[in-house]
Amino acid sequence: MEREGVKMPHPDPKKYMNPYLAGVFLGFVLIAAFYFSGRGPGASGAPKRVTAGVVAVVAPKHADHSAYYSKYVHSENGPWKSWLNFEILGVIIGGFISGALSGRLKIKVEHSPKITSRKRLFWALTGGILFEYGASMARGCTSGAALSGMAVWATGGFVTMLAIFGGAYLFAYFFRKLWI
Amino acid sequence: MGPLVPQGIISPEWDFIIALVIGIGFGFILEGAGFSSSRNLVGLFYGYDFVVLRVFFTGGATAAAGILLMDYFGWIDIGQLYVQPTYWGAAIVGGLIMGLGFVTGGFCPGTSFAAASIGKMDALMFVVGTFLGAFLFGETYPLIQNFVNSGYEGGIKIYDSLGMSRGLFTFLLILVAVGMFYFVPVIEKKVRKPEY
Amino acid sequence: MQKGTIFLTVVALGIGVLVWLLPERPESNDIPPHILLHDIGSGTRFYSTDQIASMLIGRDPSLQLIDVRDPEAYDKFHLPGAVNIPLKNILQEENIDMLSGEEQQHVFYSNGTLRANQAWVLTKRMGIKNTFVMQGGLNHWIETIMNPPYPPSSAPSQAFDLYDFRVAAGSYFRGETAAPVKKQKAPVKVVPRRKKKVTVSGGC
Repeated sequence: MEREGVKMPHPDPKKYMNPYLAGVFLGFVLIAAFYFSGRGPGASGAPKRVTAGVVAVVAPKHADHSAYYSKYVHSENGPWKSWLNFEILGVIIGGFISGALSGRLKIKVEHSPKITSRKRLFWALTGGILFEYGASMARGCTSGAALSGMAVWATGGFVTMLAIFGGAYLFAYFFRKLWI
Repeated sequence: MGPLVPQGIISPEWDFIIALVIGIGFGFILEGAGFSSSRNLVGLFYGYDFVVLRVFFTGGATAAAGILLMDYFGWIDIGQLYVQPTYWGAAIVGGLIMGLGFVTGGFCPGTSFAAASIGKMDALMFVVGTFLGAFLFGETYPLIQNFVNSGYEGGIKIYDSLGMSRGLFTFLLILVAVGMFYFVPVIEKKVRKPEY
Repeated sequence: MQKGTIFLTVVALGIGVLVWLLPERPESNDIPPHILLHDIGSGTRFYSTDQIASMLIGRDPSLQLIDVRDPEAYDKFHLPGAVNIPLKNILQEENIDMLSGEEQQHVFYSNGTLRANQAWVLTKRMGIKNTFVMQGGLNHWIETIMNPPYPPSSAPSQAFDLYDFRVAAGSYFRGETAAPVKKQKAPVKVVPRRKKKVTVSGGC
C-alpha cells in the first residue's frame, strides 16, 4: 500500500526527487489517506490541538469557557489523541528518514547572505504566527485545505489555495529583501 | 469499499497507526522534493523555482483522478470522504494572512515540520510560531467569531459551484496543470536562482 | 522537445480524458443504514438531564438546545437558551444550515423523547453530525432537576451528591424565571461531563 516508501537513490546530497515523480507519490499518499481514513493529510490542525491541550492543562476553566478551545478539548478523544497529531509525528519521522538517506541532516539557519540569521529567525517566527492564525481562520492550510481540498473538489479548498498564493504574490514584493 | 475506517471495516484504533504511516510518507515526499528548504519554497513567488507548483498540482491532480477512478470501480464512496466546509469570508481573509505568513516565514506548517526534522533552525522557529499563532487565534476568537463563521456553505464542491460535471472539472484541472508545467520553465530561465 | 516530456503529457491528458468520460456514480451523503443502526444502538446520542443542567449552569458555549415542540408549548415553557425548531420545520434550509454548524453540539428535546429522537434520525440521514438528544425530555427534566426524588437512606453517597446537585440546579433554574429562592446550602457541583462525540475532524 505504501508505495511512497520507495527509497530513491541520492548519490548527490543536493539532488532532490524529480518534482513530477514526487507529485505522483504525493497523490498516492493522499489517495491512501482518503481510502483508509476518509480524510486527507493536514498540518496546521496539530499545533491547534496541542495548543488547546496545553491551555486545558494550564488553565482548565479558561479552556472550558472558550468556545474555541472547548471544541477541541472536549472532542471524542481529547486534543492529544488526534489523527493530525499522529500524522505530524509521521511527517517529522518521514522528513528525517529522507534527510538521512540523502545526506541533508545538518543543524543550520538557512538564510540569504543579505540578511543576518537573527533576522531570518525573527521573520520565520512571525511567518509561523501569521500562517497558523490564517489557517485557523480558514480551517486549513496548504496541506489540509488546499491540497486535501483539491483531491475532493472542495470549493473552500480551491478558494483558500487561490487566496494563499494570491496573497503571497501580493506581499512578495515587500519582503523580497529577505530572499533575493 | 473505502473509506475503510469510517465505514467500520477497519477498527478505529488503527486510525492512528494509519495516520502515522501516512505522515511518514507525506514527510518523506516533502523533504525529498526539496520542500525542506525555504529557498525552494519561496522561489514560486519570485519566479526562480516552481518546484512547489509542480509537486503540488501533480499531487492534487493525481489524487483527484485516482479518487474518481476508485469511485468508478466502486472501491471508495466519495460521499463518505471528509470535505472541508466552505466559509467564504474566512477562507479568503485566512488565505491572504497565510500568504503573508508564507513570504515572511518561508514555510507552510507541513513543510516546516519536515524541514525542522532535518535540523533547519529557521523551520523550528516557524513551528514555534505556529503554536503562538494558534494561541493568539484562540484568545482573539471571541472578537472575530462572527466573521469566521459567516458565509457558511457546507461541504460544497467546486464543480457544482462552477456548474460543470466532476469529470470535466478534473480534466480541466489536469489540462491547466500540464499547461503550467510547459509555461513555468520560460519564467525560470529568465530569473536567476540566488545561491546560498 | 524531449520524447519523455511528450509521452508524459500524453499520459496525463489521456488520464484526464478518461476520467472526464467515466460515468458518474450518484453521490450520496446519506449515512449507510448499518452505521445508522449502530449509532442508534450505541446510545451515544444521549445527554442526561444532569449533564445538560451542569452545562447550562456553566454557560458552556458549545451547547445549543433545540426545542422541537410546537411554538405554543415553547412559549409557555422552555429551557434557558433553547431555540424553537418545530419538528415539521426541521428540513427548512435555514434550520439545516444552523444544525450543520460544527461549532456547537445541538441537543434536541421534546416533552418525552419521541419527537427529539425523530429529529435526531432525520438529521443523521442528512449527514449532520453534531446532533444529540436530551434523555427523557422535559418530563424527565421536571422529575430529576425541578423535583428530584430524595434518595432512600440506604443509597450510596453518590446518590446524595447527585441529589444535592439537582436541588441546587433546580433552584438555579427557578431563579432564572422567578425571584431567587432562599440560598441553598449545597453548592452547585458540576458533574464531570462524559466525553461526547464532537466531530472536529478535518481542518488542517
